[in-house]
Amino acid sequence: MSSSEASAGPAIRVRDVTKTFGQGAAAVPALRGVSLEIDPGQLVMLVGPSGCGKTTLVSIISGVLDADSGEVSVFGTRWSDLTPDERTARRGEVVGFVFQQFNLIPTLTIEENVAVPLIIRGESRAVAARRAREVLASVGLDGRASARPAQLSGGMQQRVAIARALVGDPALLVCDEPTANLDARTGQSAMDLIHAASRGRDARGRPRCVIVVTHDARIFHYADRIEEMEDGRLKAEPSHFVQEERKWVPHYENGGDEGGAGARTGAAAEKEQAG
Amino acid sequence: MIRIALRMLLGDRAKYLSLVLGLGFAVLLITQQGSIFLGLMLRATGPLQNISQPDLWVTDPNIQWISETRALEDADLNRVRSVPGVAWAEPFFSLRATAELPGGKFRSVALTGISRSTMVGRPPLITAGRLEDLKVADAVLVEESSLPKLGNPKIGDTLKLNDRRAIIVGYCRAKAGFDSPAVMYTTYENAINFVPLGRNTLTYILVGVKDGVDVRRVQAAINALPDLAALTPDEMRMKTVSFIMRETGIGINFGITVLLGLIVGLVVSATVFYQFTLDNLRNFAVLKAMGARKRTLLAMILVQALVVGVIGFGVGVGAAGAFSIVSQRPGSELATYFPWQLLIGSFIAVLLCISSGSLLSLIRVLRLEPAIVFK
Repeated sequence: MSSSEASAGPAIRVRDVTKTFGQGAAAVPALRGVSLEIDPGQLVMLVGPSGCGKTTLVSIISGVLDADSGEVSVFGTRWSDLTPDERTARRGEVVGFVFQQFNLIPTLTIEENVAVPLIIRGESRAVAARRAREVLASVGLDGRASARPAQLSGGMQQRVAIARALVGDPALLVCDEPTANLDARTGQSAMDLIHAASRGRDARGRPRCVIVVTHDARIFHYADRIEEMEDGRLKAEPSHFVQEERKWVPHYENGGDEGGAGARTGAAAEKEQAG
Repeated sequence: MIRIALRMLLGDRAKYLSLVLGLGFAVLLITQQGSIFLGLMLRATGPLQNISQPDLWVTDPNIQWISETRALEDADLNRVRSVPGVAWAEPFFSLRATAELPGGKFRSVALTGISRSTMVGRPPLITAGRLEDLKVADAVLVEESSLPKLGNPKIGDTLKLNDRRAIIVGYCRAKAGFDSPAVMYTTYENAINFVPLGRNTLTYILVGVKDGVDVRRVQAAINALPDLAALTPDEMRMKTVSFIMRETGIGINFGITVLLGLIVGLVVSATVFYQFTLDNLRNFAVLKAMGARKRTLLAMILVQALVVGVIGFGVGVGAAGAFSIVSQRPGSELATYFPWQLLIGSFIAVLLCISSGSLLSLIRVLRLEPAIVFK
């Protein structure tokens, strides 16, 4: 790590980042000078219309894509200071991913899927399997460890994906449209888990940051902060529509599907109590 | 990660089986055709393998392979015997005769005539009767695997050989030649009665060199004699093999089949393995996003390729081996030879197939942007 920043202050710092895809006449600017800071322990939602640059921004923040210019640091590490191999290793330590398509490896069991990040880090199979079972239990899937992804419902698969993202105790959890392929109640269940994760800490005891890219207004209320993007830029503040949607807390009957989404354990419950 | 790589490979059964069977078929083609080719070459030099005693074979200088000879003069035997360093020199007869079978059919016979006194050039194994019985007039030993070709004659039976009576006095075991005729042994004197050649009757002179004398020196001395050439058994073998390769087209025909096997292996393994990698590209991208380094992904792909290659090799060699075992039955006309060098060669061919096949996959995965996980 060639550059460190003070441990106090923002956990994620994005400064004047630009990114353009294609060249010449076909060039499409995806990010036009985005700056953003996220404090430790915050759950931030990136919202905005399709093509506004949300996914590009989150890809650059999580270190899977290079910015054309600008600077991104995550928990004190500037991605641009690292070699590709160092960046890959650092990403494995610091970032957990939850994808819209779940991206579970279909030929592995649930337990093996969840254990993969630890195995990549070099943990023994036994240690990785034990930790995977613990995390699976925490997302309510302790009885399905030997199942294959195809044997589970979409909601269950997303919970497996969340378990996989959390198994290594990452400091940053990046979720790309985590509820897009789920029905409303299952989506709430997944968001409860993600929200709970945002109140947790990483392997080094730092408060965890969560970034959620979403179109789904039904989950806005989980956010500590919402950043709205438009045309490759962050708006100064979210639109009236987003602010109004954020106030709305959907209600579901108890005893919902797989995750017990009806149990209001997440941000919704907090807001209900506060309201 | 290796275990995960294997689970990814074995989990996609259709592609896994396609890869294994494709490679197995390629190995079968390469190994089986290679073994038949080597078997034919081995068979072509069969008459040479039957005779272990001589250090040199003396014959006409223009000989091209063992089965086409020009007879030497009887006087040549004494000329060779007088060369310094020669311990012994014996006449050897090897020509074709026609055996008449019951029912009027006939069969070509490779008739070998050996010295009556020393029996140099005798068959490797007598399985029935006695070698000495060959000294009886018109006596012949029949090679065992030739018996069905001759109507399974019994010891004591007679048959017509070039319209002369031949008495079967025993059976022996020996290797046939390239075109696998029936094989019979008799004495040199009997042989020239069965196959009259006129003035010149010697097809070969078999030479033993005195202990401690350099074979090459004796060979050079014999070569210095007019119209004679001395060849070591290895030289004779190489002359025969190269003649068959050159003149019969066998080399090129088998070579084409082996090449086809290699191409099939290359194409099948490259396309199926590449498709397998494409299907798993997203998984590789996820692994990369989660911290798997390039060398880890490379190792995963190489392990997948190696496992498929080794199993495909096993399937192919197993099938070729089964074919070879079937061909080893007594009386079988299939000629297969399975030396370890052939296995090494076909394993190298498999490695070539899978390394070429996985190269495209490696390039694709190395260039993979982990950001595709968000698409």
